[in-house]
Amino acid sequence: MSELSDEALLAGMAVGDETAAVTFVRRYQRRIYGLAVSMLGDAHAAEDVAQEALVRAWRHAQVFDSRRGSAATWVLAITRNLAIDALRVRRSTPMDPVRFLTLGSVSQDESPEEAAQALDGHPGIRAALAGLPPEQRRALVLAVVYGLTAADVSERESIPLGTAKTRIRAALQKLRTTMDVTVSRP
Amino acid sequence: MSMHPKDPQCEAVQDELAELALGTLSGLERSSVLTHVEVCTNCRIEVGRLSAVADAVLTLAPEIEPEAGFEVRLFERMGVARPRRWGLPRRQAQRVALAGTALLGALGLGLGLGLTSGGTQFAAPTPVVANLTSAHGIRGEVYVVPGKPGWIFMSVNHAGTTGLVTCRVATLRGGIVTVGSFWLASGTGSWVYALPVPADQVRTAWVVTGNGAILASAELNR
Repeated sequence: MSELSDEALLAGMAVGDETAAVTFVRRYQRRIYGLAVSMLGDAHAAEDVAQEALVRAWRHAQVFDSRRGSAATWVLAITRNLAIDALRVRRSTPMDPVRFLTLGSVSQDESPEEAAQALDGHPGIRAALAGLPPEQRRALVLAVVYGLTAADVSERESIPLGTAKTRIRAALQKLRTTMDVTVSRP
Repeated sequence: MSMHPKDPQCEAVQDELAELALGTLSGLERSSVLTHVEVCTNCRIEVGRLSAVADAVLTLAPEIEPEAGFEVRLFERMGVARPRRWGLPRRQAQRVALAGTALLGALGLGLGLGLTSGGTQFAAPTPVVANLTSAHGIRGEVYVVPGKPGWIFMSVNHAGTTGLVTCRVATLRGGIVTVGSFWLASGTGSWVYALPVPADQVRTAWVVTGNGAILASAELNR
């Protein structure tokens, strides 16, 4: 094995290895920027968020714990939180779950095999998300990607609060079932 | 689907568990749910699973090429020396670098891969990687990576012991250096440390138990 794993790169970053940081940046900058763009819909704001996420990964690499998740989910979660902060600063900006879904190529046309190959670590979740009822999918994306509370989703979708909560919960649990099945498959 | 639907306290917080996992619960609701989750193992596990799902959804984000100059601005913010590239297009240069790194790594050569342009030099990480082995087989792997500083990363699995172990290395000149200690839990652990000797001088790495027994070793062939 010649190419450093994500875990090894973060380990190198934790001791200040700049070349590890450069490799990590080049491995993840397009995914991080892509998430920021799909959340914010603005290239300038997305660059600010993506850069801050990578700076934080560099400065705090020592707190990454591979037992709690992959490097990808760690750095994407940092990006999400920063983007949510940015969204809250400019509350008037409309959030469009379709933007994430379409940019993220959640396609109804993908075969399960294609969907599985597209996602390292979480095979099948792309197809599972595409397979959710549209109203559950929208609620989930608004909550997960845009950080909206159930009350926010309720207001935005013009549905009762209880319905918003149920949609978010049901969508999450369906995806969880997919992940459980995937993980337990030999 | 509740973890244990007959418990009314658990049933009462099922919707909120999802929001807790997403980090969108606030104020009194959050406090109330946390009070229950702290004493309920099943609900705590459920929150962890739902959080993992939320993280997985984020991996669906598209890959989009940032605008020109993104790296320049980023590396300035990070305080990282800005690597320049060959006169190749960016993607092509990356492929060449990775291919070169892969080739050198596959050959077990601990040589730096110099990418130069305009007098600035960037040494891509060219780790020397070796399996940690014991009499019972492979017990993990070691990366020794040159750089400023050079560093060593050990990942140990199924070593069959719990406790503090020590990483020692032998240099090409015959010296033996203790690099540091780390904890193995049920035979598993990983650890990184800046090397006190030049990375290209490391010949052998050992994982040594508290009583001095060698748990596993790796030969860093060059």
